[in-house]
Amino acid sequence: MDAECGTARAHEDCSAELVQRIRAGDPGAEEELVKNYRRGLVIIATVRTRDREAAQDLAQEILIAVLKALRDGQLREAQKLGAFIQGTARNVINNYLRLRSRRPESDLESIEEPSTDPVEEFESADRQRRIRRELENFSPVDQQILLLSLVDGHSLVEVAERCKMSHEAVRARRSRMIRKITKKFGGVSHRG
Amino acid sequence: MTCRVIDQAEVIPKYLNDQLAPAARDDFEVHILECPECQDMVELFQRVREQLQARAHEIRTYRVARPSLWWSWAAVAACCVIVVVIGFRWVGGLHKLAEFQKGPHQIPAPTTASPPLVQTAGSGTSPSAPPARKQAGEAGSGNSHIAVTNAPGAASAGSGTSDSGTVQVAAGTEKNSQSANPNEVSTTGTPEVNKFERAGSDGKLTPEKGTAAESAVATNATSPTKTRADEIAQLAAVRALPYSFSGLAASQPAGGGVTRGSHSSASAVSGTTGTPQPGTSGSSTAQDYFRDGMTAYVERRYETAADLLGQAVRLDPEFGEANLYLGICALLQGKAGDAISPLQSASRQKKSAIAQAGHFYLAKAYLKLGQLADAEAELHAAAVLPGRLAGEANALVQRVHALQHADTNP
Repeated sequence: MDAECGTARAHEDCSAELVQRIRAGDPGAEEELVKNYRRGLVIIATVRTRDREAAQDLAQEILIAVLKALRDGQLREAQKLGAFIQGTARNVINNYLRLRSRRPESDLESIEEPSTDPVEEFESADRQRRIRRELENFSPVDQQILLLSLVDGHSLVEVAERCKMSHEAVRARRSRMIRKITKKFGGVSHRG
Repeated sequence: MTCRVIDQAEVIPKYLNDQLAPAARDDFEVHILECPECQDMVELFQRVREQLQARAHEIRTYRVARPSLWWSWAAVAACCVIVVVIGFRWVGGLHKLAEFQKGPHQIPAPTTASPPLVQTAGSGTSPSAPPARKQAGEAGSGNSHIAVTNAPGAASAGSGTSDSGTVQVAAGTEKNSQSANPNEVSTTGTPEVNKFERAGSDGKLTPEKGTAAESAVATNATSPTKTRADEIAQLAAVRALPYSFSGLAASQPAGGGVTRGSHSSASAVSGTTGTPQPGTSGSSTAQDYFRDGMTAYVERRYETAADLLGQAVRLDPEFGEANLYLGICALLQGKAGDAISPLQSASRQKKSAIAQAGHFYLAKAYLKLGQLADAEAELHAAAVLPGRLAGEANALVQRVHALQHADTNP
């Protein structure tokens, strides 16, 4: 987001202005909207679909739908642009998931070569490698705690029972690991 | 929804695991659309999650090494032992501290034989001594002996009439914690040496002045630097023989005599009549002098007591108790030479208690003079006589004998 739109109030004003500019046919405003919201939409789509490639396409599809709606003046409360985009994304992703469930898994015709940026792909692979190395440095118990809580979705109480540890010990260990990972890799993610 | 709430509620892991309620998920997605920091966090968690998923099988098959039960119990046992040892040392330290506070001049017995409680009279009280100690020292004649006593003992000494109406006297004595009767001479208890004389380079016993702390250091019987002179001084230390006026009526002087009406024992003990002047009355008998002398004795005015008892002995040379206490007064004043004659007279008495005390204190006088052989003989004599000093005399005999043996076989 822009620096001028730091506070919630300022952010709403910026969103309203952006909507007005798009409605007025400002191409720069549309680019700005894509720049601001694309990454978030990819993340949401990735989480919901568990498919990075599809998430890229879905983000594109969502942005097109949002711009079309904004141009047509379908957004009544311009300051609620974020909620409008999220609602559009939810509908588009749900449609995708509904269609995917009907589509056969072995549809070879739908397989396409990934069209990602090679530099981005390299950076992504590098991040993955460093994260893996960092995780391997954790003790087996710590790795099990992370696996049970982040992947399997168990609560801390359940993790504590499985690891035969106290709830506080599990919480402390997990917090320590997350702090460590965040401190080390928090700044290397993509910025929109 | 704010970043702080997201962090505290651990929303991101729940979001990634699709564990948020639909409304909360929508709110969070609106937030991350406009929050680059949360986008970073979601992306990072996502990557971590992918890595963990990729190695899930490997991680799940980890065998977590846990300490065996045996080692757990061993650790618990070791901790218990450490706690017990520390506890014992701590309790021991407290006990020693309490003993030190109770009497900084107390010294443990160097051998199994216990020396008598020590009391010497004199004016060399340490300036730092408590009031009770000073009170004990005031009775001295100005010589170098130091009268030292614990506060409780001093309080009992010269306390006057007891509940039963009998005057209990323990002049200058220390209250032995192991003795129920403060007037009783301890024969078995741990010796409480207050201050003793130390032999000079010429072998004679010379008085030593100093603070109680210095005394405690100097008289540390367990110290390897303890000298033979210290041992002798410890053995020669004298404690005032308790005297009870209740026995005075039964103790008639050999010469008998008319009692002087102006000085009753009660008035003498109460201390309201001041120092009696029996010598001014021609009707005074040996008994009168003895009574007044013993009044001064229990008040630890040993010099006055010695004068009055001397008068009694002059009137009746065979007055056993007068001789005995005259000798003890001389000893308490540090005049061991003057104590010999009256104590010898007392030791010849038919009454075994007086004879025994006479032998016992005569031995003390010889010890002060460094005459160990004579002292041993007198202690032998005291030990064989019936009386409450027999046990103490017996113990002292062994120690004096050991000292003599050490002299002959250095």
